Amino acid sequence: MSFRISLSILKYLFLSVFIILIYSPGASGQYYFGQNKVQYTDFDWQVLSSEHFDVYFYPEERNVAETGARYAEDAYKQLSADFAMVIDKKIPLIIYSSPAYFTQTNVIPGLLPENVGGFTEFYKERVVVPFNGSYNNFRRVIKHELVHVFTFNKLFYNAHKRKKLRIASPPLWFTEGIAEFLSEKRDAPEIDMIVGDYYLNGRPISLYDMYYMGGAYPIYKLGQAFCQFVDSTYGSGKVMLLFENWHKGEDFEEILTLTLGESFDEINKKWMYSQKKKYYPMLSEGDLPDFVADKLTRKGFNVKPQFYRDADSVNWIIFKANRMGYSGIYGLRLDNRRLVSFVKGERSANYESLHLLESSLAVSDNGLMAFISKKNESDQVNIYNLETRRIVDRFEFDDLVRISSPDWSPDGKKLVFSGITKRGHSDIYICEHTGEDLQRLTDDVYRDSSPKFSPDGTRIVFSSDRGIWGHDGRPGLYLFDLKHGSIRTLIDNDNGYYSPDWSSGGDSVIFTSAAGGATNIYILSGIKNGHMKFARITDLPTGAFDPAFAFGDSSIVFSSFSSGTFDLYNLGASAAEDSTAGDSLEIEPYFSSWEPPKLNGELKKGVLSYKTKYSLDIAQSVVAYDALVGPVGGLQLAFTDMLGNHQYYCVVSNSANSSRDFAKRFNIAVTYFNREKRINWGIGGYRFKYDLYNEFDGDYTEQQFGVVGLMSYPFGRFRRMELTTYLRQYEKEYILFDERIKGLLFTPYLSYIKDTSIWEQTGPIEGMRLNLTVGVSYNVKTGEQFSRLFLGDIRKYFRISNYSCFATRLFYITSGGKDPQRYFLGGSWSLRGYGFRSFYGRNIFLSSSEIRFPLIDAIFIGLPVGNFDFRAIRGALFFDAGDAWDDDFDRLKGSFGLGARVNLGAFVVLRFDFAHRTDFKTVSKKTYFDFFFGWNF
Amino acid sequence: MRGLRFFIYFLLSAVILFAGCSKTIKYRVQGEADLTSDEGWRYLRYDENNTGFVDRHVRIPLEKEWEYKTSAEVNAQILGHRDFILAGDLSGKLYMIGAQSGKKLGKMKFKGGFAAAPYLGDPILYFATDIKGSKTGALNYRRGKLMWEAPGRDFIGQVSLGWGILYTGEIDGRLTAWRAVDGAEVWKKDLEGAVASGCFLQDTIIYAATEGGFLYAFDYRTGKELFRGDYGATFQGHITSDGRSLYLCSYDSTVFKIDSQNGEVQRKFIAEGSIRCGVALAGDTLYVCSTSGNLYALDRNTLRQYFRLDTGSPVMVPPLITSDKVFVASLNGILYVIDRFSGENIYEYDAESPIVSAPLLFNGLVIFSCENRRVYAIR
Repeated sequence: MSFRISLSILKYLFLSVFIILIYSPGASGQYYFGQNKVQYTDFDWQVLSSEHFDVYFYPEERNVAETGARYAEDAYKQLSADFAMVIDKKIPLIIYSSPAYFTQTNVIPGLLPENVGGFTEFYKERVVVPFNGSYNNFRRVIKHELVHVFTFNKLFYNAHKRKKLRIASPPLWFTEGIAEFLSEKRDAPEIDMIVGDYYLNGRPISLYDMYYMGGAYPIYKLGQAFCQFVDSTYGSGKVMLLFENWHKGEDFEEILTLTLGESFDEINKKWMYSQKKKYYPMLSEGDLPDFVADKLTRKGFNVKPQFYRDADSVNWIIFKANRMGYSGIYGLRLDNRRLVSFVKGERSANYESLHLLESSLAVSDNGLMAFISKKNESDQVNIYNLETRRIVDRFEFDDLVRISSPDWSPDGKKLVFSGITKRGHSDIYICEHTGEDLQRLTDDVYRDSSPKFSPDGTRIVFSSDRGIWGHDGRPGLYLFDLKHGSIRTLIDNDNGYYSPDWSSGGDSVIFTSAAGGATNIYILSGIKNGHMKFARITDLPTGAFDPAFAFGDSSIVFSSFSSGTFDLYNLGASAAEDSTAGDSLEIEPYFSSWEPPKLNGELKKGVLSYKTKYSLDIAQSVVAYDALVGPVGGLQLAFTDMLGNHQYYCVVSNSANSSRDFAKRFNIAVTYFNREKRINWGIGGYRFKYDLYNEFDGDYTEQQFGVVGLMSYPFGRFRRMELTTYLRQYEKEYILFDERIKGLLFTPYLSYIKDTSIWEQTGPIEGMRLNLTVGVSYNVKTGEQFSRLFLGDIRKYFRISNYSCFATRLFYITSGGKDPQRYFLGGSWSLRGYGFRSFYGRNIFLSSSEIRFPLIDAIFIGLPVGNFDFRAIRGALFFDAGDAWDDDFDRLKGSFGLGARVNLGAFVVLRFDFAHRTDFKTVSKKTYFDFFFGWNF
Repeated sequence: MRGLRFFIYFLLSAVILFAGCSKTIKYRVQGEADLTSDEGWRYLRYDENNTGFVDRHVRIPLEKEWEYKTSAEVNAQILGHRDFILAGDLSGKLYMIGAQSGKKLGKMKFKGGFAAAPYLGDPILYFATDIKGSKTGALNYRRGKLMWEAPGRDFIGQVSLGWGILYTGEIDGRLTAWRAVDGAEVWKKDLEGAVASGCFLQDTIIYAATEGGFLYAFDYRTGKELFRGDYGATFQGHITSDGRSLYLCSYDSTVFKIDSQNGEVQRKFIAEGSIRCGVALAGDTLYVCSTSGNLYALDRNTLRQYFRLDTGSPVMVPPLITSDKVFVASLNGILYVIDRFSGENIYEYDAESPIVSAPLLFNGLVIFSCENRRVYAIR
C-alpha cells in the first residue's frame, strides 16, 4: 500500500516513467526501436502573464488562451481557499488548441495516449492542457490539473514547515480522486457508471482493492466517489483536513484514521456499505443491460454502432472496438454472429488513430462507410466500401485539424461532420462525398458535434453547448435548416443531450441524456408537427450510449457499460413504444446566450514572446565500486526549457584509482538536443577515458574525445531515419600486448527504424520492429577505413490471441576494418541456455522463435512481512540458434526450452528460462537455468 | 590545601550536577523583573469577558522594527510579557526574544511542535506540543526549569488554565484536566472528534468543540458533562465568548452563536470560504476571516453583517483588534490595517511571505510570523 518516501523521490512518483528514457540516449544512435512523436507543426509561442500564471500559447489560439488564463485564475482563487495556501511562484500553463497539437508536446518525452485530457509535470510544475472545443471541459481539466499542483505543493509545504524530510505518499486513486472531486462539484453520471457497475455486477470494490488498480479511468471516478463519501459522511471539509494532518501519519491509512477518527477497516466497511445502499436500490426500477437487451458483443471495448443491410439483405452492425490492444472497425453479421475486421488502427500511417471514443461512423445505404482517422498532423475522412472491403477514397482539409462523427446525406452525395480548426473552434461542416466544396455551416465559439442528416435531407440535428447550460457542460440538441441557414432549438435544459439519431420517417430523434442521473436513451417524437413528446427508453444504471435506429426503426442498437467494459446491445422497438410518456415540447428559436469569459484587466499582466530559458530538471549522482575497474563516481544533470524543445544533458564521471590520475580520468559529455521541429537534432562534445576488459582484447584503456552530431527524421509515427556522426580523437592501448591504436576518426552511422509493435505487460505481442544500421569509421589523416559496421535486427510478432503470440527475431551484426568491434552472444537476452557473453566475434547471427502465452493473470501472497502482488505471469516456449565468429563461420549453436516472465511493475520484468542446448546433432541432457531481468525481445 | 581542594571539587560537582539537572540554561534575565507579581500584563486572549480593552494606538505607516529567524515556522500564538515575547515553532523550539531589541534571550527545545496556543502565566508557561513526542507541561521560563510534563498523543488547539487546572485537547478527542502545579491528572474525557477548537474555560465550565461537530461543556473540577450538542459541523479555531454566548466557527463556512448554558444555537452566519480560525470580539462587533480572503464584521447579537472586505488571499489566523483598527494577516504576506467601524482599508504592510501566526500587539509593536521562518515586529 502506501509508504513513507523521501521528498526527493516523491517528485519521481508523480512524473511519467518515460522521463528516464530521454536522458539515456543509445550509443550509436538515439533509440534502437520505438515509435515517434512527430513535431509536424511550427508554433510561434508567446507567453501571456497573469497574476499567478504564465500561459504559453500561439497566436491562432489567442482567444482560447485568454479564456484559459481566466479559468486558471478562477480555479486558483478557489483552490487557494480550499487548500488554505498560496503558491509563491508563477505556474506555467501550456495550452494547445487541439488534441492533435497536444500530442506533439515535448514537455514530457514519449507518446501521449489518445485519451489523455491534460497532465501536470512536476519538475517544473507545468500544466499542459488541450482545448477540444468544449469550454466546460477546458475549465474542468485546467482545474483538475491545478489540484495536482496544489496537492503537490501542500504536501511539500507541510513537510517543509516542520523540517521533515519524509512524508507519506498519497495513493494514485486518492490523488486523481481529489482532483476530480474538487474540479467537478456536481454529481457526474460517470461516477454512477463506473462505481455502480462494480457493485451492480457483483464486484464490490473496497479501498484495499483500489490500491491495486492501475492509472486507468475507473480510479478517477472511484477516488472521486470516495471523496464524496468522506464529505457527506464525516463532514464537509474532512477531505481537505487530510492535507492539514498529512505530516502526522506514516502512511495514508494512518492519516485517514487520524482525521476521520476511525480505523481504516471501519472506514472501508462504511464506504462499501454506503455504495451498496446507493446502487442496489437502482435495480428496483432500472435494469442491467444484459437482462433487458440482446447482447451483441462479449469481448473488448465496443462503441459507436451503426446498422447496415448489405446487398444480400444480410443485417450487420458496424462498430468501433478495441479487442486486441488497438482500435479497429468491425462488422458483426447478425444472422450467424460472425465478426469481421474491416480496419485495423494504430498500425499504419493512414490510421495512426481511429478516435475510438470521440468519432462515430456513418454507413450509407449503398454500403459506403465514412470514418475518420488521424494521419500525420491532422485527420482525414476515409470512405470504405463494405462490399468490396476496400478504401475507395480519402481526403483531408487544410484548415481542419480534427474531424469527427461524419454522416451521409440521404442521397449519399454529401457528408456532414464536426471539424476543429487551428483556432480550436468546433463547428459543423458539409462537403461533397468526394471532399470537394467544403462549406462551414456554423461559425462560433460553441462546440457543435454529432451532426445527423434528417431523412429528407433538409435539416441537420446536432448537439451543441450554445445554450445557457452549455457553459456548464450540458449541451442541447439543435436543428440546422439547410435551406434557410437558420438554427432552432430542439431541446435544451440542464440535463444535457448527446448523440442524436433520426428515425427513418424523420418524425423522431433518439439521443442520450443524463436527465435521470445515469446517461440513458430518450426519444423526442412528433417533430414534424412541432409538438413533441419527450420520453425515456432505457433505464440502465450503468448508462447507455451511441444509440442508432436499426432494422427500419424496429429496434435500437447502442453501447452500454457493463462489467468494466462497453458492449453493444440491441433493444426491440417495443421499448420505444412502451416508454413512459413525458412532457410535451415545441421547437423553439435559438438565441446566442453566452460568451467565453476573458481575463480582466487586474489579472492581466502582459504578453511576451517566448524566450528559451533553461532550468534544471534532473541532478543525480552515484558512487560505485567495481572489482575490476575500481571506484567510479559520477553526476548527471539535465536542463530543459519550459516547452521541452531544447535540452542540455551533461554527464560527468571519474574513474581514477589514485589522486594522481584524478584529472586524467575525468570523463565528461555535454549534449544539446533540439526537438522543436520535425527534424530532431543534437550536437555534443565528450571526453572519455576508461580501463576496460573483454575476452578478446584483454585489459585495455580506451580514450576518446570529440564531438557528435545527431539527427532524426520521422516519416510518421512508425518509421524514421537517424544519422549519428562522430568526429573524435581515438586511442586504444592494450595493456597485455603493449600495443596502441590511435587516430582522428570520422564515424557516421545511418539507421532506418520501423516500429509498429503493440505491447502487453512483458513485451511486444503484435506488429513488427526493424532496425537497419550501417556505419563506417575513417581515419581522417590517413584516409584508411578504421572500422565498419552493419546491423540488421528484424522482429515480427504474430498474434494468436489476446495474450499470446508467436514472436520471431532475426539478428545479424558484422564489423570489419583495422579495429573491428567484437560482439558477444549468450545469455537471457540472446542465445538462451548459454552463459552470458559465452561467444564473441566480429560477426553475430541470431535467430529466435518463441510462443508467448499467459500463465497466471495475477497472484497475491500475503506474508507477515508484507504483501506481494505479481501480475501478468507469462510463459514462453522458445527456440534460439546463433553463432559468433571472426573469419570462419563454425556451426550454429542452438537451444530450446521453456521460460516464464513476471512483471513486477514499472520497468522490471523478471525472466526465468530453462533450456537444453543443441548443436543440431545432439541435445544436452542437462537443463540450463537462467534468471535475469528485461522485457521480451 | 586539602580543604581548598575539597571546596573546589564540591563547587565543580555542584556546577555539573546543576547543569545536568537543568535543561538548556542559556538565557539571562533582563531588567529587574519582579518574579512574584503578575501585574503589568494581561494575556490578550479572546476568552476575556468583553469588558473593553486597553486603548492601543498603532502608528501608520508601519515599519519593520526587527526580525528574528527561527528554525521552523511559528504557527502558534506568539505571547508577550513584560519586555519579551515567547514564540514556539513547529519543530518544538521555544524562543524568548527581547520585545524591543529582537535579540534572543533564551531558547529551549521540546519534543513535538508548537501547534497549540500555549498559556502564559508569570513565571510559568503551560504548553502542549503535537505529533511525535507530544507533551504537555509547565515550564518556569525564568529559571529555564521544566516543572512537570506528561506525554500525549497529539495536542492540538489552545490550552486553557483556571482554578489551578490546565486543560488540553488532543487529536484523538481526548480532553484532559491536569493539576497545574504538578501535572497530576484530575480527570479526562474522550470526545467524538479531534478537539480542534482547544479548550475554553469560562467561570466554572470548560468547553471543547471537536471536528466531529460536537460542543461539550463540563464542570471544571469534576468533569461532569453539563451538555453536549451535535451541530453537524467541523469546528475549527478557538472558542470566543461574550459571557453569555459562545462563538464558534466551522470548516464549512459557518459562524455559530451558541447559548453557553444549554448549547442551543442562537444564530448562524454563513461566510464565503471555509473558516480555519476563531473569531475576534470587540465591543458589540465580531470579526471573522475566511480562506476566501474575506474579513466579516458582524453584529454580536444578531450576526448581521456590518461590512465585508475581500483581501484576495486566504486568511488562516484570527484578526487583531485595537480600539479603532483591525489587523488582518493574509497568506499573500500582507497585513491589512482596516478601520474597524467602516471596513475601510487604511494601510497594507507587505511582509513578502505568507503570514502564518495571529498578530500580537505588544508594547507598541505588531508582532507576527511568516512562512519564511521569521518573526517580524513592526511599529
